[in-house]
Amino acid sequence: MADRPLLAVEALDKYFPLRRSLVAGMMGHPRRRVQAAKEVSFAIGKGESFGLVGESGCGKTTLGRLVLGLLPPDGGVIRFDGQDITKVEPTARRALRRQMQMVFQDPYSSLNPRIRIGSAIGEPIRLHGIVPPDEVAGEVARLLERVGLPASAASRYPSELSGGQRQRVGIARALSVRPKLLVADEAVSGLDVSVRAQVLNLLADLRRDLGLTLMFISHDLGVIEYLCETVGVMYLGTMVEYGPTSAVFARPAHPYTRALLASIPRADPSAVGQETPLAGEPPSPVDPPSGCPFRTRCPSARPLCETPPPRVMLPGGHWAVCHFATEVVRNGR
Amino acid sequence: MTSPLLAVEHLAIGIPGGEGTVALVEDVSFTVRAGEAYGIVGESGCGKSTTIRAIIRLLAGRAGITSGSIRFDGQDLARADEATLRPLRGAGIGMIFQDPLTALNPVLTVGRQITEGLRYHGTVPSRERRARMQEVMRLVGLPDPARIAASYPHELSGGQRQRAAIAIALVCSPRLLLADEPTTALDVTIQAQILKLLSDLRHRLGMALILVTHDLGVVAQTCDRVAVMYSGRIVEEAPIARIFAAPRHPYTVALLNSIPRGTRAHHPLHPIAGMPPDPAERPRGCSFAPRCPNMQPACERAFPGWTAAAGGGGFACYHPAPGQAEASPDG
Repeated sequence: MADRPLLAVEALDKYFPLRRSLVAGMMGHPRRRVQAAKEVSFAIGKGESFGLVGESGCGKTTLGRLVLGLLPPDGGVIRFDGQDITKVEPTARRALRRQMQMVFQDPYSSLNPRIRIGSAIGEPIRLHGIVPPDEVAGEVARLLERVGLPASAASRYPSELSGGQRQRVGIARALSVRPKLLVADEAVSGLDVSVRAQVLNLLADLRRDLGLTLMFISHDLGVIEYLCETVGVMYLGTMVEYGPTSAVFARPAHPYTRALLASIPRADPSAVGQETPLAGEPPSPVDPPSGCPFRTRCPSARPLCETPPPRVMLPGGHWAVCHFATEVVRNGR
Repeated sequence: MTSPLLAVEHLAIGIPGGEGTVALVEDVSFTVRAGEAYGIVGESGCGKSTTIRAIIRLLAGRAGITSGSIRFDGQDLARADEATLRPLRGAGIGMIFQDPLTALNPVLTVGRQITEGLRYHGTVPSRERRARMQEVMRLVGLPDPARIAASYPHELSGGQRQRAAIAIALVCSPRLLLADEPTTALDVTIQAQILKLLSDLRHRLGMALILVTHDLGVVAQTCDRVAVMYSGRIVEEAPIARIFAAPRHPYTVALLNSIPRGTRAHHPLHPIAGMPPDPAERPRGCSFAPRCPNMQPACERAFPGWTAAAGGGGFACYHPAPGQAEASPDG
């Protein structure tokens, strides 16, 4: 049982239907839909830190919400601790929710401006009966100190705190119900460089000390490399590459991952981009290209890419969905 | 040596308040030569955007220049009246902003917005406007100029909108382009395209660029020299290679130590504790002193003066990090 992953996602599909005009409906035009997740499969081991990276609109936030049960999938299975959460009864769902918590991107809009910090953190503790009612205040103080805030912050309102402090409150609130899985969606993206580094170190420490499993969603590859042991790369609703972060960063097997890594502006003037940037912009997820979704921008696309690419397994649990994955790794392009 | 294109000297910007003026920017001095790319980096609220907005006198609300000068082409823009500024905005100095969607007018076509500057400044005869518009659209890499010129901003993608905003800024051939976080709202692959475009345009048009950003990586890839701002002041300035190789100001060192460069095991981050001070409650001495690892009693008494460094630039610190060793061949 020790080998069973905490979270296992298999062939997950999610589509969002688009509005269809009345005329289009009467004329029998098919309903158009946005492909947010297509046959996405991956697993996160207990205590592992998994990074999900991709550009806007690639479906990474949707995937996080599907995992948390905030959105129903259109197909596939999500197993949390062995239990298929897509088929769970509403009563059991509440117990499950306690075990998975989310930290949101914007700590300004995720805290109620009229509720003091202490009540915001204490509410889930009371609701789930984590500690007896007379111990809630003590628990809140302990949580605040755990995330690096003074216990006196409990009597403050969100408007009295800075962005970094609010994000610490968001983390404390997520931790308050003692979850097993923490899903953090762009949790450090709105923060300044120096504050971002503080929160990254906090998340890393919490994971180590509490044995938390982390699903860290971000567009920032540098942050993912710092924090995560495994990484999944999304493009247009599909996971195009997955593997240990060290392998994916050193030997990317999908041309998109390669392009993404080459696009990071490195804080090193001697490394001025030798590679030409990726041309074009992602196509609409309403009308994704047939075959490989990346082929319209891929520098090495060939006729074969019009057919669905296979998942190519590489050493060390690393895989990529590309006809030429082994070639990409071998040639470094 | 020829005189610089832009020389900002002892610039101070403040907002009048109940208990005296709150200083947003204090004693900022720098020069930009023709064709040069100058970066200004810092975190939110450090005064970097306020500084470049002051150059074309686009300060928001009640904020105003309280002292200092901004010399562009022999004129002091800090004291210039609207009649003097108008021909300069767009034609002498162009500007692009962080969010292209809010910078563009949603009810006018992109083509109309690109040619607006030409109509306003009257530099190009009306029959040649369309040709100039298409020329500048090709220059910024907008495909199919005729179709995009007839489009509205909401019909374009984020990258295309920023290209359109750059086209608007370039149409009157400014000698200086001010860019305020031009790629912050864009995805990383689109950011790479826009940064390459800005560098190419600068070389092809011989235009100077001031790039304001919070991202040291963006500066490293684009600029010749860089100023680091903290709490309303420039705390360090250096040629681009030196700021990364041998930063002197403890804040610059701390900022560089806050960028993830690998795994935590190999490159642990050492963040700066605490927060920048509120502009209304800045400490009397060095603003960075309360967070500084090198802090000594003198740091709290008076703001440190400027120490010029060999090879250009300098820093404002009593106890800087050691510079590049004398043994090192170049400064």
